[in-house]
Amino acid sequence: MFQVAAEVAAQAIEVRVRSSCSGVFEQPKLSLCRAWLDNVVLPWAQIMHLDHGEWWATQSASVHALTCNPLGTQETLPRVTVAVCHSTCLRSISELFNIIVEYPHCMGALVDLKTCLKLPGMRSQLVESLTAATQERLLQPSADTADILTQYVSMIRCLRFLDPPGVLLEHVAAPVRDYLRGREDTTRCIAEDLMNESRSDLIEELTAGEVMEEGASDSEDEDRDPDNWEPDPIDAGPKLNTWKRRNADAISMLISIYRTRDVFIKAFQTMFADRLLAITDYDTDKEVRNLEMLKLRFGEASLQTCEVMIKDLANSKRFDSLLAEKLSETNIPIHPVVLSRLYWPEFQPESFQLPDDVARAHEDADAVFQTQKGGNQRLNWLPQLGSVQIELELGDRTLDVNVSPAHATVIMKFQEQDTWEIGELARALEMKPEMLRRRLTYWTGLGVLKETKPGCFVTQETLEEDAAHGKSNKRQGYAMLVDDMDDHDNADEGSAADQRAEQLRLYWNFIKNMLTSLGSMPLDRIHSMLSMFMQGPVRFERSPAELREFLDLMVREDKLELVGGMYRLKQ
Amino acid sequence: MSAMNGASRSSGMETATASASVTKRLQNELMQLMMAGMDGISAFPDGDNLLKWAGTITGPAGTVYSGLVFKISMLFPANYPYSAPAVYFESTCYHPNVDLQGNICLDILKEQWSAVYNVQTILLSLQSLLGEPNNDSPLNTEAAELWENQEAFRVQLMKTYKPPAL
Repeated sequence: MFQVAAEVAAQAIEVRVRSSCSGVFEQPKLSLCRAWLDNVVLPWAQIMHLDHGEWWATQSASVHALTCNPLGTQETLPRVTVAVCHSTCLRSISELFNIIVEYPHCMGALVDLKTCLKLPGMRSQLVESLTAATQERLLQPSADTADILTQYVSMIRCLRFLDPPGVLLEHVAAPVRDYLRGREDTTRCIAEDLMNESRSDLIEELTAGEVMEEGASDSEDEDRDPDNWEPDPIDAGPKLNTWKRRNADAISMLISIYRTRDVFIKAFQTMFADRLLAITDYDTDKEVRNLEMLKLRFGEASLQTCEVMIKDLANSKRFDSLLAEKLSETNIPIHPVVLSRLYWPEFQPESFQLPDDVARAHEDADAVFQTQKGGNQRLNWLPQLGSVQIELELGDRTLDVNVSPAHATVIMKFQEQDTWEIGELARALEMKPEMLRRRLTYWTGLGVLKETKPGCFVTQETLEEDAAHGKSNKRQGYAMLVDDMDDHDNADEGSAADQRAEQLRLYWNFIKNMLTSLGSMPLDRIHSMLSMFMQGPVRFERSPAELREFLDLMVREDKLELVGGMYRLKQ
Repeated sequence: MSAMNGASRSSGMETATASASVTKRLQNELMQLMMAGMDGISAFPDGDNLLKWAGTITGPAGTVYSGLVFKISMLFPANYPYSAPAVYFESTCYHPNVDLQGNICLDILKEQWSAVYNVQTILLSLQSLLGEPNNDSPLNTEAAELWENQEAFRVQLMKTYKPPAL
């Protein structure tokens, strides 16, 4: 009889918890459940005389209930209340992944869970269940890296709330971190997040956190208030470093996905370069603010390169106004950005014949620059980084477009003559035909040019009005988009290869100078010299094995010889 | 740029900051020199710190020194670039402005030094000094007197010249 009643009660509790706790995470539900328990279940139990029964009795369970009284009060709870907590807890744990997705609108559920988590066995259950859910739902090739990072940050915040020492977090986060490390675009996404002003939550944390010094003090418990000291939870393994774990906020957890911060510094530099180059009015306020915040976190020294980039823009602004004074009105107005080469990513100039006016403007600007700098420095133009505002006047319409200098140069050729054959134009511009073809496709996409027969382009002075044509125009527009993206990809690849070549050339210059000046050397000495003296933006970070490969290549190319373990220059 | 930074600071700099800025400057110079990748001159820090460099200069074509390679050493003072580095020939160099101990008489390394000079300009100046000695202020008077007779000079030069070991 008691058995049956007890089972009924247990089932009722289960149903109640499920209906009240599922899917809604905003409000805490535990107190409501307890009220229901006190007002409905307990009176019913009294009627059934269950309250004297084994299952119910507080006395038999008192030891147990006291030790795990999840509400933190000293009173002895009836076992049934514990059962409610237990049930709530299991439910929340099974839904924890969804709860985290809802962050920050899940505080109610988190409060409940935190209360119940003191029940025995719940912590390991949580780790197991959340790890499995994460594995199944998040760490999949189809998930976007940005989404994984968002969930990771929410997870950090939720678990930190549940378990301030961060032990649970460490257990659950490890597989996510391992997974993220394997993704190529992780650094870029993190850097983007940290530089994105709309991610105000991260920005706040960025300014709040202290400067992270690599390998900072291991002064375990020194700084903390001894009165509030709490021992690490029992599941904290000996491997976990208390100090680091307790202090890790979302950002340092993000950064610590990688072992060194250098990858981020590099990513920041690239993104900074991109953003600064996209600026057309020399106004760097936003970037300066962003940099200041990053500096708070990463320390001044590591972001010096970005500092120089911003300073370059400020100098360019001054140079631009100087240029405006010095150069006559007849020139095409140009607004140069002068980059200090060593501090920016490597850019390979794409060479093609610029229009005469522009080339003249470049020369004049160069002359002004040289007088300003006392003739020691000169400008090296990188036309592919610029942008041009042009107005096209055609027979029946004018077009205002902002394009790359290369695109502008191509279309300006059609001022001279209406029809161009592609090979002829490529020769005139000294541009690679495949690059030229892409640029022409851009203009045909806009309806400015028309390919009348293969390889022959004509300006389209008037647009034909019929609908069919409009449609095909649209399709062409789409093709153009795709093509244009192609263009970028290829250009990127090309310049990446060029950069590699440039880097190898630099290595070779170092090695050649070293061996000429200091005589022949063994591998490890060359390696240590390069590591020691190749610093700054082109830091040497190759392993001895990689260096050996390079040196062996030089031996095969007959530039070096290996005699008795020593590399020396071949005369 | 580092020259300007340094100039704006007071002269009573602490040694620590001084050596940090010297290191930075020399680091930049090394990078510039490596990027330039010039033939006929070379230089590289010798050992663990940046204050001592070793280098080589190849005699310019069309002079008696054509094709000969000389080793030099450069020692940078703690207040470089406000003082000139001490530059010596390490290999014997029979030359009107170089004595037997390797001391060099070159105005830009002495009273004409300026902070705009750098390793690369020093090396290039030394290279051109080989072909165009200043015979008015010789350190090696015998060589200065012999300079007029290039053939005899070459003979004398080759008597003392030892190619640097590789």
